Amino acid sequence: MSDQDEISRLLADAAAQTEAAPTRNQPADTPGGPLSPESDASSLAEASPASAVARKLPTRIGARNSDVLGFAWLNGSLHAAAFRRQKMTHSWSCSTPVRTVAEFEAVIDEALVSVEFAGTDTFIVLENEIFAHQADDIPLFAESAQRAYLKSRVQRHEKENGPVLWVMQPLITLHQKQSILLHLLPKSFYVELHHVLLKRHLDLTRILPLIVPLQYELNRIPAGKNTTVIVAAEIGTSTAVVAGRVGGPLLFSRTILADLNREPSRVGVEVNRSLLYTKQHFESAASSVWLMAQNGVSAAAELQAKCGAGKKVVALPSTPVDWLQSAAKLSPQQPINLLSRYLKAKRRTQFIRGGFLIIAWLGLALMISSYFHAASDWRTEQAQLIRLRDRESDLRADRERLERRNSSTERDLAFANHVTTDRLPPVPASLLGFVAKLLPEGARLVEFNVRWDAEAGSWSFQFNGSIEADDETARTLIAVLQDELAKSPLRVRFNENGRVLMATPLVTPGAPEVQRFNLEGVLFEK
Amino acid sequence: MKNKLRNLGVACWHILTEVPGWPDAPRQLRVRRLLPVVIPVVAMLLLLCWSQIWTGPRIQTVRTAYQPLLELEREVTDLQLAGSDAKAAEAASLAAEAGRMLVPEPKEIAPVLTEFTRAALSRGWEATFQALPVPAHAGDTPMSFVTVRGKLVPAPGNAQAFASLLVVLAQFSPPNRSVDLTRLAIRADEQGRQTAEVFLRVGCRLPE
Repeated sequence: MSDQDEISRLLADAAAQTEAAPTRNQPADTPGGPLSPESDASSLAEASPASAVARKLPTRIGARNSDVLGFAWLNGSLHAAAFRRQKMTHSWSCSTPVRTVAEFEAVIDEALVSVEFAGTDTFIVLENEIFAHQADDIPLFAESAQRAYLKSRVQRHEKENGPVLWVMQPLITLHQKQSILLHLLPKSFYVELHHVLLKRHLDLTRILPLIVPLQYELNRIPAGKNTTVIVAAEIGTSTAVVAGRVGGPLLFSRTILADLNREPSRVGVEVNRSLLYTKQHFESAASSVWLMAQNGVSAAAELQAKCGAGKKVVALPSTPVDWLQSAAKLSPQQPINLLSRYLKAKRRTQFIRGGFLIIAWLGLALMISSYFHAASDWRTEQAQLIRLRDRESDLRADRERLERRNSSTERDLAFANHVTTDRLPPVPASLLGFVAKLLPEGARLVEFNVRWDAEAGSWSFQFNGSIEADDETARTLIAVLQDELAKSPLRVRFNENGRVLMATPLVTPGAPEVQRFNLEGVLFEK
Repeated sequence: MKNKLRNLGVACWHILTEVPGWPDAPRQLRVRRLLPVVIPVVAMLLLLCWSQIWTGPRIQTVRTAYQPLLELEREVTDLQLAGSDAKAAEAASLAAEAGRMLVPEPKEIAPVLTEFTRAALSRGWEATFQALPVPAHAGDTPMSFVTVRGKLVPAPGNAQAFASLLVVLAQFSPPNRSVDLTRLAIRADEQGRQTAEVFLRVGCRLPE
C-alpha cells in the first residue's frame, strides 16, 4: 500500500472520527496555536453538517507533489485553480453563491475533483464582510516601535472583536507619515476554514487579501512608470477600488458595496469620488481608470460619464481566476500573507527536521565506517598478535643476545674511555720546562715539587730557590715570573699566603745580596 | 521546569514527526514519519552498545593476554635501537686497542720498569724504581693503577743533567702506554747536583 493510499485511508478514518466526536484540537504548529474546547466546538457547530468526505487523491508517482491549489473566495463567489510550476492546469468556478465556511465545505470536494489537484499546498485570495482592512497613517517609527504600535492596536481590536490573524501592508509615505493598511481576519473563521481543508489533506499556507493580486495587475497596466491610476475590480456583488502608482506604492483601497453590472452609475459616482480624493489627498490626479470585470464594457461607459471626459476609462476583461494566476506567480514568501508566520515556522521545522535527518544518517554512516575500520584494524592486530606468539621463543633469544651485545658494547666503551681519556697530561715536565725557561738571570731553583691531587682533580706545586739581587729587584723579577706563569697555558694560580721573598744574611762581606723565594700554587689544567 | 521540558518534548515530537501539508496527522502516520529519524539513532545506539559491551571488552581481554609478549617485542625493539653490531664491533676494537696500552697484569710490571731504567740510563740518568702494593680494585673496568716510585740521579759525566731530565720525564709518559707521571720532586744541593723523585701511575689489566 502506497503512502498516499494510506493517507487517504487515514483521512477517511479521521473524517469518520470527526463525525463521531466533534471536538478536535488544532495542531500546535498552526498560527492559532491550540484551541480551547469552546472555540473548537463553536467552530464545528458553525460548520456544515454535511459529512466530511475524505478526498480520494489522484494517484501520484512520487511521494511529493509540488502542485499548488488556489481559491479566490470573493464576496460569495468561489473560484479554484490548480497550478503546476505557476502555470494553471485546471480551473473551476462555483455556480452558486458561497458565503459561509459550511457552504465552502459543501462545494470544495467538487472543486478538488474538477481541478484534479493532487498536492497539498493551498492558498486563498479572500475578500468578504468579516475580513477587515483598516487604513491608517502612522509616524515613521523605528521598525520595532512600529511593530509594538501595531501590536497594541491589534490587541485593542481583539478586545472588542476577538482574536484575529493580521498583517500590515505599507502604502505610500507622505509628510513623514506612513500610510498603512491593516488586514484583520477573525481567527475563528480561519480555524473553521483550516479545519475543512485539513480534512482533505490540504495545507493552507497563504491567505492573501484581494489587494495583493490587484496590485500585481496594477503594476502590469500599460502606463508610464509612477503614473497614478485607479483600478476598479468586480468582486462578486461588490467592487474593489485600488489607487496606486504603476511600479510604485499603493495610495489607498476601498470596497464599494455595489455591483458593477447592476449599479454602474453608483459605482461611477464612487470611483469619481476616489479620483477627487486622490487628487486632493495625494496631490497627483489619476489619469486613468481601469475596470477589471468579466464584462465591463457597458459599465465603462457609465463610469466615463460620471468621471468626466478628461479621464480615460478602460475595461480590462478579467476574472477572479486571472487574479488567482497573478497570486500564483507571486513568491510564497511575499510578506502580505496572513499566514506568513506560519510559513516561517513551517520552513524552520522542515529545516530542523532535514538537518536532524542528515546529521543522524551521516552520523550513522560515519559510525559504521569507523567501526568497520576499527574491526579491520583489529583483525590485522589479531594476526600480528598470533604471529608474535609464534615468534615468542625467537624474541626471547633475540632479547638475550641483544642484552649481551649492548652490555658488552657499553663495557668496552667504558673501558676504552677509562684507559684513553682518563690519562694525565705531562704537566710536571711541562711546568718544569716552563719555569726553567722563565727563570730570571741570577736565579736558581733549589727545590721543585709538582703532584697530582686525585681528589681535588688538580695539580699543586711548590718550588723555592734563590736570586742574586737586591730586595726590590728580586721582588720585581719574581713578580714578573709569577705574572708570566699565570698567563701561561698551564693557568697557574699562586697561593697568597705563600712566602714570596726572604733576604739571606750575608756570609761574606762584599758578596752580592741573595734573596730566597718560595712559590706555591695550583694548576687548573687537568 | 517540568512544563518546559514537556513543551520541549512536544515541540520536538511535532518537528520530527511533521507530515508535510498535514499538521494534525494521526499518530500512526506521525510514527511512520519518525522512522527515518529513529532508525539511524537506534542503529547508532545499538552500534555503541555492541562496541562498549561486547567488542571493546573482548579486544581488551585479548590485548591484556598478549601484553607480556608485546612488552617483550618492545624490549627487543628498544635493545635493537640502543645499539648495533657495527657499534659493538667498533667498541670491541677500541677496547682491544686500549687493552694493549695496559700492562697485562700487575705482576708483569717489572719489564716496563726495566725499559724505563734503560731509557733513563741512555739519557745520562741512573734510575731505580719500586712498585708499591696494588690497592684493592673498586671500579667496574677490569683495570687498576699500580703506583711506582722512582729515584733518578745523574750518571757521572752527565753535564746536561737538567736538559736530559726533561727528555727522560717525557719518555716516562709514552702515548702507547697507560703510564702517567703523578708527582715530581727535584732537589739541588749546594754544588748544583740534582736528584729527582718521580711517582708513576701504571695501568694494569686485571684478570677477568
